[in-house]
Amino acid sequence: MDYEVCRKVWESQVPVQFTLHSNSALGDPLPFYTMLPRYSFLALAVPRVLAYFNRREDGEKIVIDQIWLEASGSPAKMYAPVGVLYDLQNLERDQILEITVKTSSPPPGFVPIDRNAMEAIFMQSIKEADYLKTKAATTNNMQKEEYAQLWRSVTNNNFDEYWTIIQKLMEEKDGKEFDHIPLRVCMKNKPFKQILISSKDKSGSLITIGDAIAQVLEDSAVADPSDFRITSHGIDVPPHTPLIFAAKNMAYPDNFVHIVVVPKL
Amino acid sequence: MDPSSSSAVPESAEPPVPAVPEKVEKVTVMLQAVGDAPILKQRKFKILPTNDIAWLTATIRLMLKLTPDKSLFFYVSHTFAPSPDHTFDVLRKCYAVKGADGSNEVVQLQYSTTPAWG
Amino acid sequence: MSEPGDSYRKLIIDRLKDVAQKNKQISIFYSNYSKLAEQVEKSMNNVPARSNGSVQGSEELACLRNEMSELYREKCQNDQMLINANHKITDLEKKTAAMVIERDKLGQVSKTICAKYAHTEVELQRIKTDNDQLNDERIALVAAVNMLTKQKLDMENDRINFLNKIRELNEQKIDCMNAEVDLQERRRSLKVQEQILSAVQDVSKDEKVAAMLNATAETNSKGNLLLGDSVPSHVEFSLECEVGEVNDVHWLNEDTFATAGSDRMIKVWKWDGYGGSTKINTLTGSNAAFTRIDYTAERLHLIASSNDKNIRVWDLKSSRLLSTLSGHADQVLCVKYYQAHTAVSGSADRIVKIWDLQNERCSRSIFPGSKVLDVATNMCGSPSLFVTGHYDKKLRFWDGRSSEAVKVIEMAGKITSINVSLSGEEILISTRDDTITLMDLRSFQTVHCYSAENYRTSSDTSQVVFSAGNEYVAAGSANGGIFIWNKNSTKLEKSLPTRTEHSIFSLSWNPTGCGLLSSGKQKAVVLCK
Repeated sequence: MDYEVCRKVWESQVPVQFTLHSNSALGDPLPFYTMLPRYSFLALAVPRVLAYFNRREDGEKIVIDQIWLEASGSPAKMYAPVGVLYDLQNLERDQILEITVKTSSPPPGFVPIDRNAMEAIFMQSIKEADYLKTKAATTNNMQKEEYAQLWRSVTNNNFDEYWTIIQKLMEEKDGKEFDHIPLRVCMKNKPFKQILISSKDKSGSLITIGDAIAQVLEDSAVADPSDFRITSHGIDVPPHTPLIFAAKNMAYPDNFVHIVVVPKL
Repeated sequence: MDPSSSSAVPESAEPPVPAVPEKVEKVTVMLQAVGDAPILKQRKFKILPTNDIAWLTATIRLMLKLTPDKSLFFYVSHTFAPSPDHTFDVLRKCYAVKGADGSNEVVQLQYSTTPAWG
Repeated sequence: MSEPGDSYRKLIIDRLKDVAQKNKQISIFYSNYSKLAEQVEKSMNNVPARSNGSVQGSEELACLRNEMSELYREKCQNDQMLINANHKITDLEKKTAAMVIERDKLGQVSKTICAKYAHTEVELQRIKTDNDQLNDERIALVAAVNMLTKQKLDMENDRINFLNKIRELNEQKIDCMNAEVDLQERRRSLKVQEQILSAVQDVSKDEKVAAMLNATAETNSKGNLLLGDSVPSHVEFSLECEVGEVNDVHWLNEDTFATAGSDRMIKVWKWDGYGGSTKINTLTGSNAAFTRIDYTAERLHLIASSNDKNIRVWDLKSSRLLSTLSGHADQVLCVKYYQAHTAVSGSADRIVKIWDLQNERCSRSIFPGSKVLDVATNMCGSPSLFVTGHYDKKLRFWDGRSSEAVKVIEMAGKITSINVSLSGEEILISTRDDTITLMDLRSFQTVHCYSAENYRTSSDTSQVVFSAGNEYVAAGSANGGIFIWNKNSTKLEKSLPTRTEHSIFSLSWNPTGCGLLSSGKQKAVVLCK
């Protein structure tokens, strides 16, 4: 694993603006601006946001069960990594992610995610990634405390703690290569795509990110893959980057490589 | 250039597939009750590949007549719970198994009203 | 996008740095904004406060609030740590409880072990005292045993002394008896001499009678009429007389003979002189096969040795069993009349016994150390001399008084029989090496050896005989033939096949010199003439 790349990826942040749309008689408070780590989740940021909005002594207190989030006019997934949400909005680099906190009745299918539910979804995601990589051999051998430590590192923004655990999950066991690479390809307003893909092709040479994206998009009715930019963590990923390098060093803490493809202008 | 990518059009307004809808092959899903979960009368479902786990959760909750205080979990291979936005297209591509007759690919899911497998 | 090698890594890092740089600027704006927002908030909150109190108070309040929020934040963190610590504590408590339970269990186990140990200790003590007691008893017993052993040793010595004395006394007694027997013998011979003297005086007075006496036919020493030896040439008759083996056959006089064998009977037969014979007497009493018979010179008594370890004497006239002599420890293989009223016997128990027939008891036992296969008496010179033939190939001569042999001669084979000539000067010795030896008793020198190509000594007790006129030597072979040699020339005169092919054990030459009886393994007695 590449410590430097991992560290840089971990430290990468995005600016977020939370605006409250309540029908309060007093009017809404000023928006809340904050830098969120890309690996983090809206579900983790919401309590802090609500605390800000609830600072007013006279205002009504807003609780997490009563709100829903909207980004660019669509319900925002509280359990998706913030960086993926940001990239999906296809914003310019210096733009900020605008999240609207609404107290009106939520659209169907929106389920508010609290801290515990977020932890459960996070853990299941790690298991799914390991199921793809090692048929869940690694996670089955993990101690309960190790799961807790991993979650703690994410919630407390503690890279050193994260580094000790993540190496375990990213190392091939006994020289056995990963069965499949957990890779998700996201496009704006479309469900993500995910296929079974290995780190090497049949001839044994490494598959690159570019190849992998072409394979994922192969059967979908989109235009030529070369018309798309491959982005992750806010940067254009060089298409010749080996898939295995991305899997180990550019994965989000949920162990998936989230690639957002954006049509070239 | 897809016009929808830049403008904030609600999801419902977007056509699900750009091209003329070809014959969409539905995903065969087998559901299997685990633990104390109530048994479904129907175990085999044909589901559109664009549907996701959140949709299935809502549907099965209705079928089982679960009250809002009850939970419902789905599991793949007795191992992990797919996230709500997993579509059946993804589930079929990644986790489908060959049916007993060797012809059809079947997505086998376990469902439970209590968290299973950690 | 055509960067070579792993330049992708550098690209990624650079681009990440770029983004971070931009975000850094935004984050600075953000922090400034949040400070401003806070101040605005504060000033907003301070508006009502200002109406009540001083600006300073509200500022202090704001300060305090800030501190408080700071404190809250710290508290939050501390709470989190506290919760974690509490978790750990509960975990540890659980572990402690489990360990306490474990410790209690172990304590219980240790208690039981202690109890067991104490119990074992007590047991051990008890066993030790028991052991001491037993040891004391043992020492006492050992002392008693030593004492008793000593007493027993003393008594044993006494017993040996007594035994020695008894033996000495017995020997003295035997010597006395022998002396008495000698004395009687001497008295008798004196008496006979006196009678002879008186008779001679009578005869000498009558010359005619003397002449007549001289003219009568030659008689042998037993008083039988001797007509001259004739070499038998044919089988006169064969007599089916016994059940099994016929071990011995003997002419009693010219027309009667006795047979003894495995049917435990001695039968006396009368020969009609032509070709037949009739049984005139049966002597019984034995529990096993008879081995040898002998009779007195007057034909009054018959003595026989038997495999039932006994010797029996019959009266021939009345067929009455006179006495049974027991004392041998094994089969009695041979018996012969010896001096007056005595007989000598030899047995497989390696003992030679001399019997006092009048008192029906053994007068002497001699230990030659080897199986006695035959005994012979009536030798010239000393009437007390007799000879025994042994399994160890030795011929032993005894004089009847001393317990040591007078002379021992080693032969070439086991001695099966000894026959003494009528004159008592020569003996024939049959040995197991298929030869017969003639020995002069005066010099104890071998005179002749007899053997033939087909002659095989039939058994360990096969007999050899002189002819009645002392001219021939006859012996029976293992193949059923009778071999007759000229005594002086050692020439084989006749090899006479009998009708059997069975071994011949015994031969007897008719006192008249004509007629040779043979008996053997088969139940027949054959007379050859």
